[in-house]
Amino acid sequence: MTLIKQRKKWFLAVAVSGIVLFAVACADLTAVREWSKTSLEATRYNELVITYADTPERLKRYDTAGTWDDQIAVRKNQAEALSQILSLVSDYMAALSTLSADSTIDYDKDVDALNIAIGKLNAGVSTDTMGAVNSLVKTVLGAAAKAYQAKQVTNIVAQANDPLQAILRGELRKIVDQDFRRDLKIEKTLLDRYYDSHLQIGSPSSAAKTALEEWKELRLKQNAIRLKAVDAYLEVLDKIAEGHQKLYNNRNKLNAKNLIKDLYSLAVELRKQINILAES
Amino acid sequence: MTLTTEEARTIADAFLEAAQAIDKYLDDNFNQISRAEYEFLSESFKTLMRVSIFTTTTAVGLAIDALEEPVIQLKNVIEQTKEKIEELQAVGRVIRFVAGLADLAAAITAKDPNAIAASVTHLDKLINESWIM
Repeated sequence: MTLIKQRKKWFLAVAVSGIVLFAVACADLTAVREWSKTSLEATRYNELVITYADTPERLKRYDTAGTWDDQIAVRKNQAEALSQILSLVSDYMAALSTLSADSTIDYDKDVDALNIAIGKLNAGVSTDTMGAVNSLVKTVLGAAAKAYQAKQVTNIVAQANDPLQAILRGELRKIVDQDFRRDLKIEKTLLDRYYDSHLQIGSPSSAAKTALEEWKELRLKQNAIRLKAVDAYLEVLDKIAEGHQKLYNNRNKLNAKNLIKDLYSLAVELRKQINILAES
Repeated sequence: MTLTTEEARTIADAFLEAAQAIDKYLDDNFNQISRAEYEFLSESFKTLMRVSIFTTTTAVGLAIDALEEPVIQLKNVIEQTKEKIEELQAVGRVIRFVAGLADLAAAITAKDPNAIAASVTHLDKLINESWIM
């Protein structure tokens, strides 16, 4: 066997071994990417924060003697802070989605451009050999990049899980579940009393009574829609927290079939809640 | 003694429940109580609701403060993630840069001034876009 043929065989053996090793280490990050993209979409919903900030303004209708202006100012600042926290969760999901994207490690066009440029150097290498080297470089580079990418996703998920769970399952969840919900209960109780007292006292005319009843019904309906949005948003926070916990628990086996299946199911459920929020 | 978030929420809930109790009483006894009693209880109802709202605002403020540490930690992780993305994208830029150099070498070898000028312009653009500079 000539020296050149021996070298070619040796090179091929090393390359194939490398590809096999990388392939074993590689993970399919499609589920990670799709789940984080859906989570990103869910966390962009900001209406609940606006509803919370605007509550004192709405309550002015039913209690004109209250000193609401101070509350309006404080809540405006709080809404800004809450929006920034939600943006941070969105930013994390966007970054995780990009880190796990196929396009981030797609170097095929760049390798093709290099191949063409080297071809122009006229170094006496045949077109077939150039083509074979080009394919091999793409495969080995792609496998190495995939393995490195998977390792980075694993590291990032491991570091992000604690603070993300603290935010999603901690005070942010309580703010939505307890404080936003209480706000809407206060509004419902106030508007009930407001309209009932107008209906009960002063013997309103039939036309006035009808108008008051219609307004009461409208305001109660708006209140009910907002309460439904609170429930939907809690589901969103819970599903995102659950999904990330599953990622964390399986971070060393990201292409495990049950993980991929679970993340896809969570993404479907998240999408349902996103649709409810979009309608509210 | 400062108020905790849970204490603020407990107070807000208690005031709301008290207001709801008055609301129910007014509905059930509207025809039995005097106008003066009605007005007095209505004002008490509104006062309790105002305190409940104000304490809710306090609770939310305290909760936002409690989120400060995990928020800082998550911000750090996001920065690291962006660095990792940058590292992966840099591989493509390096390959493009090497291709640009090979292109320039070919143009010089061919002694083609137009091709040399085009290659130099392209390399300059790559350098300006690249992390290398």
